[in-house]
Amino acid sequence: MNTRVLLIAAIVTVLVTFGVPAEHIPAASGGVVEFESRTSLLMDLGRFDPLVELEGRFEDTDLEFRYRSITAGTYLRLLKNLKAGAFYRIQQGARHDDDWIELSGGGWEWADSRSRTEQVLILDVTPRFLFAFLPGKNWVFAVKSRYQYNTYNGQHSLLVRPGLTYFLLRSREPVLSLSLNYGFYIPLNFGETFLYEHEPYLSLLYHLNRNVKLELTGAYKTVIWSTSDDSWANGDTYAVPNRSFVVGFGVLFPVSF
Amino acid sequence: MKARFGTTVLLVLLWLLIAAAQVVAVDGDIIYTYGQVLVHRNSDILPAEIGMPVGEGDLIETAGDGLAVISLVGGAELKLRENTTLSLDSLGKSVSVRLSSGSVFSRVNRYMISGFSVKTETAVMGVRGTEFFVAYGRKIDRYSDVWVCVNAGSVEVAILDTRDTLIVEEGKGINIIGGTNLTSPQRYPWTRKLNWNMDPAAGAVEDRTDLEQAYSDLLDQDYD
Repeated sequence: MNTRVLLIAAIVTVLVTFGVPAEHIPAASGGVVEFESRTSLLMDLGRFDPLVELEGRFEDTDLEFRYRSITAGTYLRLLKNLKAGAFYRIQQGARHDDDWIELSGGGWEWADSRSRTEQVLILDVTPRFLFAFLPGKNWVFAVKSRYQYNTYNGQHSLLVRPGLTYFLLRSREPVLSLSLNYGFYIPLNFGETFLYEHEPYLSLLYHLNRNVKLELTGAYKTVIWSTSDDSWANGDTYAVPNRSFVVGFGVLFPVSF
Repeated sequence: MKARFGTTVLLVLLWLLIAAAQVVAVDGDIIYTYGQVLVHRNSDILPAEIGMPVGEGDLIETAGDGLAVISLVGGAELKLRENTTLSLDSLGKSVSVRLSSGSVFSRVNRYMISGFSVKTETAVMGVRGTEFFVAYGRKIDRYSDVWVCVNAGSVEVAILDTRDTLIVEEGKGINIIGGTNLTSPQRYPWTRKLNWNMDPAAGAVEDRTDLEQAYSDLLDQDYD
């Protein structure tokens, strides 16, 4: 381990522990409430399950409508307990470490990325298992594993999200499902921490009928901002946690052919 | 003396004819078989063959690889899928069959038969002219679920214990939960894959629909 890494680790530890505020370092926050929404068209073509999804987020203390995306692709059921998926996403308003910039006239702020279009390639592998031995029997344990490649900045990342879902059935059909997950976002070629984001994630899905599902989600999201390019140039290093409660609403339209 | 002898011979012949008719009361034929199919008749177990007559009281059993199509004289056709046991309880102008396991497609000509019913252990499906499918589903409760799907016409479903009744219209199906609780008729996507054809000359008669599709697959509930 070289001296630079040790130095970064020491600084990170100090900043995270004591939350030292500084104008040239992103301010750590906690307890901000943000909102997100999504609507999805989920098709069932036998082994293939194509989907198209629109997503938007109202972020920061001013609830600015910043992030928006459209995702398209398909899942393929390889085995009874295993699905794989490939997706393409176009997004705007995504915030990355290097978006913490020094202004030409002095001062620091987050770059406005709302008009910046990024493309993301996603590969998904999700094994699922019935946990019928639990009380109520209708339990499914899944581990969503997603590799993501952002063509804008060349960042590779991995999402690993284990979760347990309970399905309330009526007349052998799901009417309500409650899911508790924990998402771990692992940067593969960027950042200075093992995780750049992690969140416990609770989801309640009301199966209105076979073709309409209503979703309510809640997450306590922690994003860890690592040193931006401008900060490196300024001689700073940091890893600042930013915490927020994210409330989500979704309308899903599954269609079977 | 000659007259008495002649009368006796006639009576004997008549008795023999009646007895023969009782041995095999022909009310229909097996018009197609595939895989292992057995006919239980009295105490005999006979391998089914195409053209074999069947009658009231016969019990037809298909194995895991079996399929049988039966044409009844009155104007009904039955297609038994694999692992099915069906007894021909009553044949004639009014037909009643009993499904003990598995699944059966029925096609009934309303102009030839005044009544037709398929009975399960808990319910009876009665029709006057229609094409429908009855199948045992999963056994989650005391009795198995029973699926009823109607392709043409309508079917009246009656629960034997509670005497609840329900009409299932063309294109719809129901699941009788635990064999006793009627659900609302609806269009089930999986029923679109059922093969209703019973005429081998018109194409394949085998139906390979996986009845597990009738149930929500919790491992396929994937929304993100």
